[in-house]
Amino acid sequence: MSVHELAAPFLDGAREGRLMVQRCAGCGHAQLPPAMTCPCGRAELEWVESSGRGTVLAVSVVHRAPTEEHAARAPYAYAAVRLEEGAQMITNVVGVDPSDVTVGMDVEAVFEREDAAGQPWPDFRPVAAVSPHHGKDQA
Amino acid sequence: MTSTARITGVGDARIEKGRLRRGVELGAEAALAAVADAGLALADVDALLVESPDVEQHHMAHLALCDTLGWTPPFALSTGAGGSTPFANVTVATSLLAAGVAERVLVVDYDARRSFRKANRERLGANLPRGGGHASFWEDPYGATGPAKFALNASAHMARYGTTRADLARVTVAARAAGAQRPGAQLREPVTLDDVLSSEPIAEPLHKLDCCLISDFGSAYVVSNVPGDAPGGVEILGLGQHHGGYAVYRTEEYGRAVDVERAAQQAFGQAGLSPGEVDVALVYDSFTITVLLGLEAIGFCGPGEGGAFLRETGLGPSGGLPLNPHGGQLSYSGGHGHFVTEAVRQLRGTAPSGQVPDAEVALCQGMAAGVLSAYTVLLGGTR
Repeated sequence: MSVHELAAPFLDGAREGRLMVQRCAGCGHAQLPPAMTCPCGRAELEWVESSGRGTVLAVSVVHRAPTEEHAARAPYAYAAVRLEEGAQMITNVVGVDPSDVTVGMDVEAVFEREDAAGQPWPDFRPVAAVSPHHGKDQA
Repeated sequence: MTSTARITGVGDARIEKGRLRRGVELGAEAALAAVADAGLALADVDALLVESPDVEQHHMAHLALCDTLGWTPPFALSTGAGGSTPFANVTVATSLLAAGVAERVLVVDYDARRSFRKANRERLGANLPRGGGHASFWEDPYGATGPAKFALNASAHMARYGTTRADLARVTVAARAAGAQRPGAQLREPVTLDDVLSSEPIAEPLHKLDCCLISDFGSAYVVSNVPGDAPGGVEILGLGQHHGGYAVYRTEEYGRAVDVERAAQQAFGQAGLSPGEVDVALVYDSFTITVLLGLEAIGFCGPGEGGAFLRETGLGPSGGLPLNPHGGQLSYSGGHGHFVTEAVRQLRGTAPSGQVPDAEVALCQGMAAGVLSAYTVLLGGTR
């Protein structure tokens, strides 16, 4: 069976619960999914761990799923997220009603789900809101 | 543009409900119609370009078509650019002519998607097969679908500019009004804004009536640079293309079709024309959002102004921007080449319905891979 070598660092990292991003050693541009070259024209590409934090660029609540596997989860939030490092990825936003996912929402990566072959993939969940300060009289 | 290439013949297969035919036979019917329309016989054509069908797949569709026609030309090739293949093939055809490889190029697209889905409904449900040629390693784990990809474009545009579902729905209302007038259209009943808004959600904000038809289809056109051929053939004024990639994660900005911008700029530059001089627009309407982003990117209105443009501009034959007078993919057919054949008929003044008065410049905007792969074709009438 052919191996997707370009994806290996991402997939290996996912198995360890780490979100890995490809980055150009020349210009610092981060990209996901990985490619053989950087837009700057060089091919000195390395992998770094992402903070896992990002922002939702666009989201769709999908009702008509492509397979039985996904139909069981429908409706689900299919989204494009931009990571802090600059790379973008397609993902699902979980841990919230899909209809409540908004463009601009701050999210963070979670590894909760595996595909049919047992490979973990990162979903994203809303970053927990900071608790409001409780004591009115505290300095 | 100094090309002497002209589109001298067009043909579309007649689709009849209940009569299920193989796609390659629809392609052959359209091919023969286009050749006859050009005043030619097959023996006069020396090159054939065929779009690689998506559902009725064949790794050498150009030769499969030849077998069905009972003819082979000196030059034959399949090309693949998804739904934008007939648009892209104008560039390929004119290049063959300019290089002296051929004098007359027959360009064909066909597929039998509706028949396939009907026959496989139990197995596939409402979806066309997503495996094989449509597999996307980085998107499929997340339940990617065609509509979901375009829904991301709509989501970003709505978030940034306040565009509404009702704005988008106007594209369908206009398309269905046009299709209602057009003999041979797959859907011939008008719909209201409410019909679109209340249709079943597919990938929000896109609902069923935001989505194009699934059809069986066959279309063809002939490009010639033989001076005596079909006097009054439609001129090819400008061509452009630009590509951002295949998968939606290659998108630079989800609420903008930058590749359409660049393709259109290139075509207008070659033609020495501006968007304001377009008399009729044939814009690929895979979804309502495809049209909205396309209209902005072509330059009919500014970025973010698409919603207002759709609210304020008549899209019918006498409106501010006549758009898809045949009904497009939202009403006429989920096929591809009909945007080109309709443009030619409009410029000749022979459209069976929705004729734009005195149409002299037609813009055909192909989009594939979402809105990431763009081909712009500017055509001029010689009446």
